[in-house]
Amino acid sequence: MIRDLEFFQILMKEMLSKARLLALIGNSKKEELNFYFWLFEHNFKEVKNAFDKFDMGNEPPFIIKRLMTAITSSNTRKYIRRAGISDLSEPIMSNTTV
Amino acid sequence: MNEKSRDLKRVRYIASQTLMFFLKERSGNLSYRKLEMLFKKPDGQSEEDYQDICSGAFAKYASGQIRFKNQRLIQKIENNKKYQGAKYLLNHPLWLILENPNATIEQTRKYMRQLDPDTQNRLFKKNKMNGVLERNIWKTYEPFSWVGKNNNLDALACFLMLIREMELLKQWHSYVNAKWYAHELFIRLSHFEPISTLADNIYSLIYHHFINKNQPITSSYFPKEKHRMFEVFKNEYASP
Repeated sequence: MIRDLEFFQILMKEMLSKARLLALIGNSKKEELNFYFWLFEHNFKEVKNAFDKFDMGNEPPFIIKRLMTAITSSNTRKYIRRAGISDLSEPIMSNTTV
Repeated sequence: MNEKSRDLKRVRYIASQTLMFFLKERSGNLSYRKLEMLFKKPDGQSEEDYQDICSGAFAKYASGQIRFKNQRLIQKIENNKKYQGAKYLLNHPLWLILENPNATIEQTRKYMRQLDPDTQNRLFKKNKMNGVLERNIWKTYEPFSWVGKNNNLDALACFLMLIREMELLKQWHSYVNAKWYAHELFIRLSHFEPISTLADNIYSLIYHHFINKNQPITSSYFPKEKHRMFEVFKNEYASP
């Protein structure tokens, strides 16, 4: 069970480093979390396969193009950026007082 | 000691650890001894004098040896602007649902009312006729996605509450959805400090009391007239 988590995290890291070669993704916790959110909103396996295929020097698969658009276009960037809705300095621990 | 009270105890230890990590991060990586001195040292006493009587309690909280119970101290921490949110974190609704995984509908809704306002707005809608807040039951993926985008403990607590609520309401599709979103969000959160340090403990609680419950969903969960529908959409009911 915990091993599964570790496995996912290795995959996520791998995909982040590959995505960084294609688009500008910052080093902050928030930006990385936003990318991972995008990753989970899509089919994880499909994204991984797409990255693997792309490594082989083929035309970028649709999902990779979609990621590049999501990061560069002002409209879709907004969608990804919306991940930190309340723009908390610390996305993991919400410091909202109720 | 039964399972429930053992978990209840474990959750409060994890909450204390999380609080300590939060304080350390906010303070700019001060040592636990210095943090203890900052909050527990009486005003008139010098740092040297306090060194001798410093119990090292903060380090013990952080390592999960003891749990944080001092309400006066948490109020003192909360009053310091730099550490605002500490009290909410210690009494976070995530700990409430984790220590009570068999909560009733009323309890889960009470916990939901303690989440951050943005999540509450998605969970409840105001009845225009009588002004009463009613639960807005989610039937599509979109609200799950919106809450998941917050990437914080409130979102995780919200999904766990939804898992329990949907189980009681026997809405199995939303139930499985909430399980997936909780699982994925936890993977994202556990990638970073401080959750990464506590990931094993928190995930084992989530897995045993929420994700691994009612596995697998079979046609016996549905009324007879829906058995055919279940056979067609069987994959939609697969849990993480």
